[in-house]
Amino acid sequence: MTSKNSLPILLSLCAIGSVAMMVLSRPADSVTSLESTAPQAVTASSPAPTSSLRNLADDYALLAFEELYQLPAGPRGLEFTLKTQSLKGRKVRMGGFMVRHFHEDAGVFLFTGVPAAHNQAEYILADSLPTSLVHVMLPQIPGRAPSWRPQRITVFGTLELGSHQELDGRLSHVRLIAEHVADSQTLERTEVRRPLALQRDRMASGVRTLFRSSQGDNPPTNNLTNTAPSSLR
Amino acid sequence: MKPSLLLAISLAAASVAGSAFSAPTVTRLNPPSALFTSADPSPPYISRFLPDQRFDLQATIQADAGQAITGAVFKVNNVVVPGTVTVSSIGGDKYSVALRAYSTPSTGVKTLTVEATQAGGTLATAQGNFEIVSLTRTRLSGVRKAKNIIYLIGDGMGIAHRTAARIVSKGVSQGKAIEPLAMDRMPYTALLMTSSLNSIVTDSAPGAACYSTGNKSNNNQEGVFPDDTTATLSDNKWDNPRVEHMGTYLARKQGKALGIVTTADVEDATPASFGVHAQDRGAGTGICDMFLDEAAVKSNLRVLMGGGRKWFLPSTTGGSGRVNSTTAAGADYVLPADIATGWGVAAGTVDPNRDLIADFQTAGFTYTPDATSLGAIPANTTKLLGLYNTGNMDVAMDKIAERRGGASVGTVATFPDQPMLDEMTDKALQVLNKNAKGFVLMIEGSSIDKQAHNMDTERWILEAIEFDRAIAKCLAFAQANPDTLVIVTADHECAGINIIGSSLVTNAELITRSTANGNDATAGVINGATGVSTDGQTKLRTGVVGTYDAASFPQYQIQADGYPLSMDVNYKMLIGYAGSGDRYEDWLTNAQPNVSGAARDVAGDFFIPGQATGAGASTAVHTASDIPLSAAGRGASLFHGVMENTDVFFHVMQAVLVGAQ
Repeated sequence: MTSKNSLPILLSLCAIGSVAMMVLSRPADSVTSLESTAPQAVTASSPAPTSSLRNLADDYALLAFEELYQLPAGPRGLEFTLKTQSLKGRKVRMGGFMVRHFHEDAGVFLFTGVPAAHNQAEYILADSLPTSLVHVMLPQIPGRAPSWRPQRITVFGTLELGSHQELDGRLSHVRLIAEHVADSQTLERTEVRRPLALQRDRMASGVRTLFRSSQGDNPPTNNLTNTAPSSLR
Repeated sequence: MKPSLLLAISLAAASVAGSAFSAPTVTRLNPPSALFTSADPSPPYISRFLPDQRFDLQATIQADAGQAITGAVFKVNNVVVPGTVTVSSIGGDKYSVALRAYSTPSTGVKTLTVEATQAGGTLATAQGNFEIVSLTRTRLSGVRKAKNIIYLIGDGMGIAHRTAARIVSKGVSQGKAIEPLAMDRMPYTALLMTSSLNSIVTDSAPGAACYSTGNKSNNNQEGVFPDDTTATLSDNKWDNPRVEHMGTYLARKQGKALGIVTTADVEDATPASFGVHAQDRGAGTGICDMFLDEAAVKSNLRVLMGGGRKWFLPSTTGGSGRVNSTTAAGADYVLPADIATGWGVAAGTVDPNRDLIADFQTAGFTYTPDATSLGAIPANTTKLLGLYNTGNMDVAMDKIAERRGGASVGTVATFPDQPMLDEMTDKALQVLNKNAKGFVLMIEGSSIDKQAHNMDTERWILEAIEFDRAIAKCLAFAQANPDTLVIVTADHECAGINIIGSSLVTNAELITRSTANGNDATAGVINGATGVSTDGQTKLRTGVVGTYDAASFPQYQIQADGYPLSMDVNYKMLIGYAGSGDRYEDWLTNAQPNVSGAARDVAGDFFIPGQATGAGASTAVHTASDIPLSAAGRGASLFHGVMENTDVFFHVMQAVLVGAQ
């Protein structure tokens, strides 16, 4: 996207994207009709009449990141707490931060109890992320990935436990099938998606991903070199 | 560029352009050489090896459309190399031909020719070269061989990282260092050029593998040369031409043991670069399997310590990261049959539910999950596995804070009893010294780099101090065991770091300035329209950054544990970044590690735009500047001047195989 020829295309993509954003800037739970390709992604519950999620809080058990696993860890693996196990498959809400990170799956973001960054292009899967890492699964919308935001957010959804290999190779052990995402302070709904072409603030694999592709890796399906998704045209 | 070289390149281009219509073409010849790529037969020779050091011969042939390559021979100095040449179709009428684990005892520059036959008899041929380095005695007498080799690699550690660690931990007064660092006491110094095979700026994989193989490789690759296999082959990450590691060579020739100690995930680039062969530095499942399947068998690996426990747990266990694939990030390994046969190693299998800790224990390793168990290993321990975190180990600052009873940040609450690098070093030396034939030990201070990437000044300075304390342990060992060579260096510089001066204000004043928003009373707003990049500049740049005389001599108070009481002293040392990403800066210690520079410290409103490219780039990058090397012990006098990073390997081997003062 850096060559001179592509600049007008990029600008027009941005323009189209801006229009699309106006159309698509709806509560996350109203975009259920769009195709979902991730097996973990479930369609959202019925839309709430108000944008604030305060009145829904009682329906979702509060689960803190530090309550996920027994602390400290033993000599081998990590073990869920009784509370986590009891909430398996149930509706929970968790407050935390999106990891500043480029994820190759547009329907996923990494979620932690403290602010964290991971440069996957540099370190691949050798990371310093908190052990209580949660994969938030959103209804997948082609060409649109969750945009990183520094503010604390609360995710409302269904808790899923057990190891599962994600598209980027990382194993997830805790997944939150998101139904609502809200700003933690106001509990107002937050739009966590934007067209990829507009995601200036997400940490991209960029050149390194292209380089790795030339070495025989599968090119990621959702990097910045992709053309605009058809839904935006 | 030399005129003859230009001519050669244009000739080569012409021949490639013409070949599409007429004949099969050799598009790659390994080992890499200037003779093949630019018809330049003169030094420097790109690929160099020791007598009897093993490496693969490989070529990629572009066949005519619809035609097949049916066979190939390799010739060294026009003599056909005996052995099996495997021909593999790699798609697009391309073929890879390889002869595995070649070696020769005879020294000198050799021409390498490949002759590939296309169905119908048309030949594709090309020539390259490589050098088998002659190690000769520099003196007739007074020479002894080095028995033990210790590489200490401060990942990303340039000159300024060292200086900053000295200023903080030892102090400067009236123009002189009050005390030198341990690494300052080492008598010999050199500068290393760090470029990789495909870039002036290396990453940690070729930046470290060069010390173990003597050769350059592409970024992301460790212990191999680049090839052309594609993702259509399930073994594409694992079929690259290999170069024998120092540890393997010395285990085979002399029965030496190998130790790998890091504060990173043990699959990370630097540790893996001493024990495995992988095109993809991120293939953690396969890399950790290879530590046991190959390195423990072929390199006599006896010590492996660091983070990365996730690769050792069955995938159904909480915290596991083992991947059920040979192609995804974090991949497991399966070798092509010719590599397994040629190198005499296990072929590997995709086994996400492997209990690798149990397998290490079965192979005789004592497993230690924390500092307490590490400290309690029996004196007769001969094999040691230590996995102290699921990912990278926590950094020195956060481990020390926990030991002092402070807040648990990072993953310290999950892993509260992680050892310091000097404690790991102590035990590694104890275990390896049990091998009467000596050892090769690599010790990495890995988060000097990781925290420099993150522009987290205080954390990388404490990492460098922790690293220096490990160096002190090794120098003491070398003093007690005089046939030990100690090399302290890096793999590359990270973040373009330098010391720009000191704060003009007290810590209390810095806190005040860092928590009051700028003139517009709004945190994190950049007033670009006014031509001023941020309204925090006056408060936190002009009013704080003292240069030249105003910098004076910042003073830190060092505790009995060897680390500063606080990094937030009055008039503290200030660091600048030239390989920077976007960041807000308030000069104060960050409460949390690994927070994006674009997301922390916003209240001070002092935004510094970075030079690193990429959408949302908020991490600093490696730079191409030369890095310092310090040497002590047997053979240290071989290290001086400005050298290629690959030269280090040959000087070390000179000390081991021939001897030095």
